[in-house]
Amino acid sequence: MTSMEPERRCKTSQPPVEVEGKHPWLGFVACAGLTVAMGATAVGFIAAQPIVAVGLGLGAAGASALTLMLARSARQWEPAEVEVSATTVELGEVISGTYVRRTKPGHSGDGELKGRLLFKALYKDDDDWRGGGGRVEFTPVRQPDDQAVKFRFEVAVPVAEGAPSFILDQHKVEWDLHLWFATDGPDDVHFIPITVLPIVHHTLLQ
Amino acid sequence: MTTEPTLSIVIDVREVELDETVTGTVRWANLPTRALQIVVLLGLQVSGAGSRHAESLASVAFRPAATGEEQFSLVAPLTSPPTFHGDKFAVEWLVRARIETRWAIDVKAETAVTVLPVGMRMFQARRSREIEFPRIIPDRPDPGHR
Repeated sequence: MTSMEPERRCKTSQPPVEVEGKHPWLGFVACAGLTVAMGATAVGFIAAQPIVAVGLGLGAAGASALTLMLARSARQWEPAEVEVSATTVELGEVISGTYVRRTKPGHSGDGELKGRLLFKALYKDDDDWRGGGGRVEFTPVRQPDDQAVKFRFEVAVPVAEGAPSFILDQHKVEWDLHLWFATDGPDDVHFIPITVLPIVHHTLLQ
Repeated sequence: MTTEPTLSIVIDVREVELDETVTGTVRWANLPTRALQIVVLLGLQVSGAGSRHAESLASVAFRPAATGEEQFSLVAPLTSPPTFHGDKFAVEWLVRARIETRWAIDVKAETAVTVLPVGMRMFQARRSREIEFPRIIPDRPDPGHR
């Protein structure tokens, strides 16, 4: 059977799909590196090879310091706050929203936000959804804010080229709002499902 | 010698919007006496990649005479997808008619209609305002597509 969500638009705050912390093992690597450094130094002195001991110790300590720096940058951000004007829209309607991200106390950071509205026409094949579609790319605009990195974005759903959301047996059309915040640390990626109704937005008809 | 039965569909307007009515006339002739009924259906079918799928969304049945015609009106439900021609698959709307006959293969006829999203005709008519909409950039071909 066909189905489309009947509910209308509502303001929503999306829980982030966090990729922050995708390197939690960096802290363990750093600790292990420091242990190796101390061990190598001790073994070198016991074996009366101070030059080897110092070389090994410095090398391991350097690697540990680098790892710790990476781990620190991976944990410097608070989870992002993403808000969109609506997750159920009509053809031609504009989806707007904000993306706000703060650093943790004592940290600083910056990044760039990219956005795409993804159109996917999919069919089921061996229990996998396959297929493709296209995308509408948009550039979020940075907003002045002393306390956070803040962007505002808006994108219109194409009227003629796309299709509204539907699922029909083994075939479906889906739309997703894709936000991608790239930093010097791990990227923060959000996929927000959008339901597009088969109605041309009323303001376009006035 | 018996004459083969004939069946045809004439659609009044080939382009409607969801929640509107598809109207037309079904005509038949030379029906055998064992004909049970004439059924007219509005439905959609998906063709292209993936399994083929068809479903009926509205129907009407007529008692047959040997020769005759009947007008029909069938509503395209708002909860259904409109006509869609995508890269991977297409959704087509069809009006189908068949003469259900006892102990014989049904005689069938079908014709396509275009079903648009609600408000699309008015939007196209007013498009002279040159509203700028973003273009969808197509994905690269799916290498796994068979």
